[in-house]
Amino acid sequence: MDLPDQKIARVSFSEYASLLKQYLRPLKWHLVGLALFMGLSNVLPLLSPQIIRFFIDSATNNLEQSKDVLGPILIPFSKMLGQDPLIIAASLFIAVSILGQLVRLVHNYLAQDVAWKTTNQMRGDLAEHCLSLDMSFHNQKTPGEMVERVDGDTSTLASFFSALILQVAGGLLRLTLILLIVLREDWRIGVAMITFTVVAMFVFHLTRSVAVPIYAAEREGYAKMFGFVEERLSGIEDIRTNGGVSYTMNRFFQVVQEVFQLNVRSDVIGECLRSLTRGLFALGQTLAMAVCIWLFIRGTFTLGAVVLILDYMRQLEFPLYMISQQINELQRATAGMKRIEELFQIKPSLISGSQSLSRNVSDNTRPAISFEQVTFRYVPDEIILDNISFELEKGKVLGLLGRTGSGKTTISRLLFRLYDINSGQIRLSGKPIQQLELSDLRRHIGLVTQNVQLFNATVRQNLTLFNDQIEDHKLIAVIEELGLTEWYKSLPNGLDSVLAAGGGGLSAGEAQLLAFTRIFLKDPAIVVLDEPSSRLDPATEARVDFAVQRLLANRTGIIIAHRLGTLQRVDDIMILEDGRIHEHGQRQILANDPNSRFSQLLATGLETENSLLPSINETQGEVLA
Amino acid sequence: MTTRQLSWQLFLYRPGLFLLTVLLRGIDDLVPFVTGLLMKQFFDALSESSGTGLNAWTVVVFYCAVQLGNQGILISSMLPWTRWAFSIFTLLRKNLIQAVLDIPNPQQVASSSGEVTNRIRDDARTIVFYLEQYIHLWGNMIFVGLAIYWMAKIDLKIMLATVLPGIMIVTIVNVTRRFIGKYRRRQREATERSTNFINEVFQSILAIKVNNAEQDVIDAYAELNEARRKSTIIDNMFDTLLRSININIGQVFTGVILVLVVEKMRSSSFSVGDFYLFISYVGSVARSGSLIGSLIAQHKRAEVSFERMINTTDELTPSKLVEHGPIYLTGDLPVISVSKLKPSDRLELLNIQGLTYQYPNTSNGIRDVDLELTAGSFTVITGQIGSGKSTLLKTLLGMLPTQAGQISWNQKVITQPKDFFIPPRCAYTPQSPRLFSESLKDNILMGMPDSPPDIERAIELGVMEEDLPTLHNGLDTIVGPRGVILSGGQMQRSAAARMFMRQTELYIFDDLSSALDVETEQKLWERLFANTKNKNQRPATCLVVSHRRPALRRADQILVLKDGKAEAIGTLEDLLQSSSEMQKLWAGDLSHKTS
Repeated sequence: MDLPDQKIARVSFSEYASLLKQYLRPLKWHLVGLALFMGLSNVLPLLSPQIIRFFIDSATNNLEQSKDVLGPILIPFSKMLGQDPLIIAASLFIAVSILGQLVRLVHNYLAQDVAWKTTNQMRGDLAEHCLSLDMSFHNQKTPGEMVERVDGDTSTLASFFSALILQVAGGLLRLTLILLIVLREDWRIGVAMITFTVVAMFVFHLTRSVAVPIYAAEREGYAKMFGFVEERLSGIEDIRTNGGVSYTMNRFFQVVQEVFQLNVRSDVIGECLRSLTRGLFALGQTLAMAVCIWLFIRGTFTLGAVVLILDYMRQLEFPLYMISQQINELQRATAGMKRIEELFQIKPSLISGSQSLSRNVSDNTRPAISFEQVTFRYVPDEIILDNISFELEKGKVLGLLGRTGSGKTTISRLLFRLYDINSGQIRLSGKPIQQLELSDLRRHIGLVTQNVQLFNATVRQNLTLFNDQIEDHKLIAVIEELGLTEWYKSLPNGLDSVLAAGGGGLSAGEAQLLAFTRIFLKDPAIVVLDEPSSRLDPATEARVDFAVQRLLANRTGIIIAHRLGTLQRVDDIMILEDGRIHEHGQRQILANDPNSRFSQLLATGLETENSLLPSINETQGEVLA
Repeated sequence: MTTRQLSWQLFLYRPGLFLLTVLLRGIDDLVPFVTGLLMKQFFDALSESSGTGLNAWTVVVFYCAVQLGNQGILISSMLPWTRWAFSIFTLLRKNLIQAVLDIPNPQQVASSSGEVTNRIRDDARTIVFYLEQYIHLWGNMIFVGLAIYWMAKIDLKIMLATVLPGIMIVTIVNVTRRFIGKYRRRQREATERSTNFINEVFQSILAIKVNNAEQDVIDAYAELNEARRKSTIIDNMFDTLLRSININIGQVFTGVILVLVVEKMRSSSFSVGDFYLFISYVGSVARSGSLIGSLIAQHKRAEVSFERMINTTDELTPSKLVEHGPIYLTGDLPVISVSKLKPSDRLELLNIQGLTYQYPNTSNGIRDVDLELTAGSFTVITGQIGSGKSTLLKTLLGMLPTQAGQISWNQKVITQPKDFFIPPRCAYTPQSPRLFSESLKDNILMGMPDSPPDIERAIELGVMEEDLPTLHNGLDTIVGPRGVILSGGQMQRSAAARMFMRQTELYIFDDLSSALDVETEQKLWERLFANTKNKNQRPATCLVVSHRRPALRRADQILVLKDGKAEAIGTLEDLLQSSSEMQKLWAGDLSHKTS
């Protein structure tokens, strides 16, 4: 059959086949069952008109003229049972109806199961693949976009895997069988119905191409409207206190007007298209009735045959609708498949090394961290780090300073080999990091970022990041060590308490402390700390400070500092400016050198505008000590 | 108000459109009746057992005309129907949105804006879907009556044996459908868990990578997806089962009719035409008859939806939800109102006395706070996290209910602060301000007249001018959902510009500098201070929450809060001498950024 469609042509047959093979192979037996029930559910309904024809023709004593096929089976069978053949036929009819229903249910179950098992597998594979991709990839994508690609696109494939091919095949089988049966009745009615089928397919194809973009536009309009509403509702404070209520309502009605236009268009055109197909089937039925009258008058048809033809005519509707709908699905699936394929094509550029750091970490003779003439840029023209060289001894803590964009955060990311440098060498305990196995490298470094990423999951899962191998008593020990006991006791279900989405219910300080527990559990040799945000109030800050001290004990550390206060506990200071080291040395020495940038920062940072009050002097003394 | 009364109010909103739709769709509901009769005629004419004389060819022409004519009526019914349904949707949505915008405690909604949006979307849809049932009800009831009458005329016994059990079974099935809700809910929850999780994963790529948590995360995702598969299949199978009973009931009862008519057909007292009439009626009569059953189920669902919509805010009464009013589907949009300041509203003295708000079930909040602001003064509220700074502002602004105490403006007591502390008297920037996905300019204007010098001034006060060239379209840059394309500091400063745009008597802002670097922060305070103390123009009054030294140093008075109570009030110099809490805060704030 000819189903011209350019969109389908974009994915080659072999691509379909390889995708199907990859995900369906483990479900072989499911598929065999599915094919079987698919066939049955398409063949069973063909029986009913035959039974009715036998019934009518034998009730009206026209069985001799009839092209009935069931008589030779039903009549001897009913004689065997000593029953009226008409009663047997009626009972058979009921049995076929109920059986058909059951077959459809089983078929539906199998199709769903296959669809979900395959798409879930694919979701997992895609998510895993995406997680392996470079940070530079993720930096360009919003989480929402990624969800759409991992979950949304995969969902469009559900129908594809629920044996879309099988369904189309089943529909075609049914269509062909109906037309063959009708041809057997009489070639003229057969030709009429074949002509009708071809015309109907063409019209369906036409209506589909009109309808799809219109519905899509309407859906988009609604998405926009509810997006508008959701966004405004999350900012009522801002709107009301700035007198924006009437403006917001004005904009709301503006969006409503747009959606209304789209809605009218899609409803009316949708109804026109539905009417077109309904009208088409009405014409088909009219045609069949007319041909039947003619054949009946000529004596070719019995009344039973007329009922049979009209019934088959009605039965044509289902496979025609279904094939048309499945082709629609196939288009959606094709688009989704293309995008999934593209995603799989993106390969991580970081190649993991093969060596392990484990033996080297205890090596005291080499610096724990060393950067040798490191140059790095995210994009070709923009140098982020320019020829950076420094060393950090084991057990020492380095304070990194610099304005936004000076490259201090980048240094921390490079240490984890989240990006590869353009030239130079980064070594941990003397080992170049690109020779290390990525997971091994990352096992030895811990990172606390400013914004702690929490999951809407249990406290346990948040602490262990879904590693279920870590025992509870270890978790509780760390919680106690960090002074979170009070918080822990306030949890309704202990470690099984679920944290609300977005870290709800946790203060910023508590979230920071939770991030520290992750590091303690991991127990790395090196810790990188992006300083806690300025949102913390002084009292909470004290708790965090305490935790930082515990964290840095016996570890090599880098603190990206935003405040001078934090720098009290670092050994070395490095000030970055535009990707270069502006100043680097021991904190004591730099602080005491009046010409150093660091000592200037200390001075200006601590303000001299008003007279120095006692408390200021104290603070200053503390920092400089 | 009962669901019935609420629905009645909605029916009264656009009765003409509704009645027209009922009329046109009613014709469609009667078409199966006519079709059945025509088919009977067709077969009777063929077998010549009927005396009515219509010949088969005429019947075919009639059949075709009825079917095609009906399509025309269906298409024309769409115009009033769509407009009617959309009007009801919009009325419900508008009333709810208006109520929510007026909610006394917006924080509640902000944290659940997705949930409230769901109500605006799905519950409004459920209600309209329920009302739409009545469109079909009348036509279907007439159809059932006519069809039953006709079948009874042909053969009462067969009619009773098939139609009545048919209606019963389908009704039971439709009532059972109510339980779908349970499975549907589980399915939705499982789906949400899975998609939320993967969303969070992509938000946390950095944490996952540096912690080597990739495999554990994928395993957790697989587990959630497995739960999603199970719940979806259960939900879907239950639905499919019930639906297929509905659809196939006619098929099974055709079999029953066959059993019953064996003798009569043999004796020709039951014609093939009669038989065809029965089989074409039995299924649709059962389905139509069950409409009342499904109406009961829908009624229940609509009741829940009405309740959910009404309970969104404490203030929304049922009658307000269904209150009639303009919905501007076509034509001019409602006017944006900008009110002018009354001379009597010029701020001379703002007085807060004994202001109290305690959060339910906690000891957090503010208690018995006094504060006085004179025109042109600069007041800073400071204190530790949880000391009640933001709560004080919100209570003053009427975004939290005043439990005790009073607020007066120029000696006049303000009873509804939420309707009073708005432009042109007062404007506010919250700690985490929200911007909306329109242009930066529209965000700053937010309904104010587009006057370039005013915008320029607002931008300068908000220290946004240096950022504009970095945005690819300047002021016309679309800032993305919730302002995502802006940095945290830019968002705060845009919101500040939005506030300054309003040129109000009083500016209130909560920790404006928390995401600003030191230079920008300096500029902001300098400009603001210069503006408030400008001798050439009317001074603006400022009330700010901050623990930053530049702000504290400039303040005319500082209110130190501790555990919700006013610990001390005075100038910085005095407080540093007298208040130990102030000393602690001052010492603790080493927040001068090094960059």
